[in-house]
Amino acid sequence: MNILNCIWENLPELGVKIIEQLHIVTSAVGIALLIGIPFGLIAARRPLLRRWIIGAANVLQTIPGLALLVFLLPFFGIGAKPAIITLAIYAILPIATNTVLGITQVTQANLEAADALGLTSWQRLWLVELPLARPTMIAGIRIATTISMGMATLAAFIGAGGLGDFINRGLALNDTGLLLLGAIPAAILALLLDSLIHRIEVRMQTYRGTQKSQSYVLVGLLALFLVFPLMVTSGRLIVANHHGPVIRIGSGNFTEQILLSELMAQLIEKHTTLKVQRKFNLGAAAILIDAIRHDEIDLYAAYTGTAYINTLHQSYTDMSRNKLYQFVKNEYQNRFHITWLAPMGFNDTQAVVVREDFAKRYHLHTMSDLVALAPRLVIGTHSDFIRRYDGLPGLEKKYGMHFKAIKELEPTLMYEAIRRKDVDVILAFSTDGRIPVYHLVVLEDDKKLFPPYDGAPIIRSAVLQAYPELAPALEKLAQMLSDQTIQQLNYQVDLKKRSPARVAREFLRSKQLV
Amino acid sequence: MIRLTNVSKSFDGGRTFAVNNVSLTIEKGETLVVLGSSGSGKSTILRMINRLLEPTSGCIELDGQNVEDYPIVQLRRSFGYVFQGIGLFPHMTVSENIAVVLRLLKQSIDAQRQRVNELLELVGLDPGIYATRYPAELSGGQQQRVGVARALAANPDYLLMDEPFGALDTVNRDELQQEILRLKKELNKTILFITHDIFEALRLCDRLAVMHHGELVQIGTGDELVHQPKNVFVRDLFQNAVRQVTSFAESLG
Repeated sequence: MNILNCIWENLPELGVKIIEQLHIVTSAVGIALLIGIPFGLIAARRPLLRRWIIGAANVLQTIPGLALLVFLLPFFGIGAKPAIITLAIYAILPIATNTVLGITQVTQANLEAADALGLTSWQRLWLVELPLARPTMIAGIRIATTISMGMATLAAFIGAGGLGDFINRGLALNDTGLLLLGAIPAAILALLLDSLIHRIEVRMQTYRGTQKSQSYVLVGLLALFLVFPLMVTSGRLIVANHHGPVIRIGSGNFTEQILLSELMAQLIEKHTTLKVQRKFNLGAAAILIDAIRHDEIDLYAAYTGTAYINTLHQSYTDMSRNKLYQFVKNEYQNRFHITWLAPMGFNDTQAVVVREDFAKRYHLHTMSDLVALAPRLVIGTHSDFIRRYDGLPGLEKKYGMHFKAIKELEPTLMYEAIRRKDVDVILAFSTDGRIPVYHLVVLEDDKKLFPPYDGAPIIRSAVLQAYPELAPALEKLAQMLSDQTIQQLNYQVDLKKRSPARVAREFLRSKQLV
Repeated sequence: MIRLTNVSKSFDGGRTFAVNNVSLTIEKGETLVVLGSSGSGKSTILRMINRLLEPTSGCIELDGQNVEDYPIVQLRRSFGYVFQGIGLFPHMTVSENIAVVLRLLKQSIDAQRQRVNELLELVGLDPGIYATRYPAELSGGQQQRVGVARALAANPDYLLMDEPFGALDTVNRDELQQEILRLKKELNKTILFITHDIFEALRLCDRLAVMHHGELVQIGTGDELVHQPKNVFVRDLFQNAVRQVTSFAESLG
């Protein structure tokens, strides 16, 4: 029931996501065709070059897709562009190798006949080699398309859109319905595209039909991979021109981030005439700050402590919430031209969390109480905290806390993991709705490792200057969200499985903010 | 007329020669058969004439002009080239195969069709049946006939035939040899024919050249070579053949 409801709620978005997905895949394969085929043709004629090209393509192929996506972030930012480039890199290999294979498969007798008939090398390529290589080349295009389809869902991690958005959101919210809504259409789309190209492949292999009709099939294929992306891109441009200015809101990949961004989005939609583009689920804090600095997004909800330690690389010693906020606000303004608006009121601090019964048994109240026990315990946390100073490294340095083992978990899954006793301790967010419900307790940070983490909207100053009406709209949230309130909202999404948009709307209505 | 003067070809930078200092002339309208075992350099000679290979040294002339001075496309279209591999394009029908060059010469569709039918009849294939077939749907002998038709399409004055019937069975080979004799009479082409089959050589040749280890051993009419062999090699070549035929005749009783 829950799943059906979720699918029903998100159905209007499905069409958009399918088009986005097809846009990414066809653009990538289109680019790969434009690069891979000429490279393959050149490589087919020069054995030395062939080794280099195929070797290079093979090396690229061994890089995990997600790693390459993230690696390209600093160069191309977030969004569809780096995703398309990444997919294209992967798609080039099968297209180029199959072009080489197809061309080198042409028999010596056919080449000799063509030469002896006085065909120029272009005529030989066009009339003999390409037609004979075509079935193999199409098989390569088919492999490239299938790979791209699979990888396109990963591209949602860097804000490329597409069906991966549903999957990502489903993962972030631990929501099976959303997962299915992404996964099933992605699979169907992959199968449809694959069978379409397969039918073209079969047609070409039999050499049946006149040369003319074969050419039409090829033209159709090219149209699919080159014209479709152009259509979508130009369509977007037209739409963008008609709609006027758009505020791009980003979010991290956990419930609270999505909720806060949704709250901000709805306030802007209600109180200004600006349009909003939701670029949610972008991932870790580092990706978000990169994105806003590279003008990929305009606005997101940041946390003072994270900014202080991880972006500004300050070492924290006891400091008041307000002082920290002022410091971060000034630094961001001067260094990045990003403005911090008024804090929303809650402190979502990093928290060392254990089960209530566990804390009772071992008389745990503070984090220092845990130090002696730690070498026998397994800690679970998400990837961000494993590297950040205000995460495990800080625990080790400041408290001398060393755990038996570390389990890397998705943010949304760690609470479930500790409830099921798969791990003994988690390094979690203090405002998560599951902490009270799962009977978990937060240990006191007695040595002040963690700074305060005030949540506040941060926005590119240029955008704020252009649309000053944004500040009053967004600051309606100032001091509106206490620790308990945000925990309650998180709970609605994480445990009641309600959509963040709806939870946000109800909250704003109850406070008469919309 | 094709004239070779002191032509040599080495594939290993001069250590060994596949063709060593060969000079010979193919007169207009004659059929010169080059006879030799495999590795004797006979195919290499032919492939240098239409510049599929370049000679290491020496000079090859076509109608009094060095082959290197012709535009390569024009040079190659002066020769019809038929070889054992045939090389029919598998993605084209019989008529498309034959018409490739006509298409590049931008002849009208009607003219192309007419020429294809003419050529198919010339090589003894019914256009109504075979024109729309693909090479894979033909027997080996039929494929080679199409190969001959394709070589004749642009109406070249010269035919270069490199063991064209080497892969065919005896019956087909015999039939095709007869066709060549007929074509020779009908079309008056100058033909360079390469073979290792002594009976095929004697049957088709006006003059015969014997090659051995890259060298031209003797050139002359069939009669001259059989009756006035220049050396032991040529004498043994024909005597062995006579012995084979005799023992075959004896075994028949």
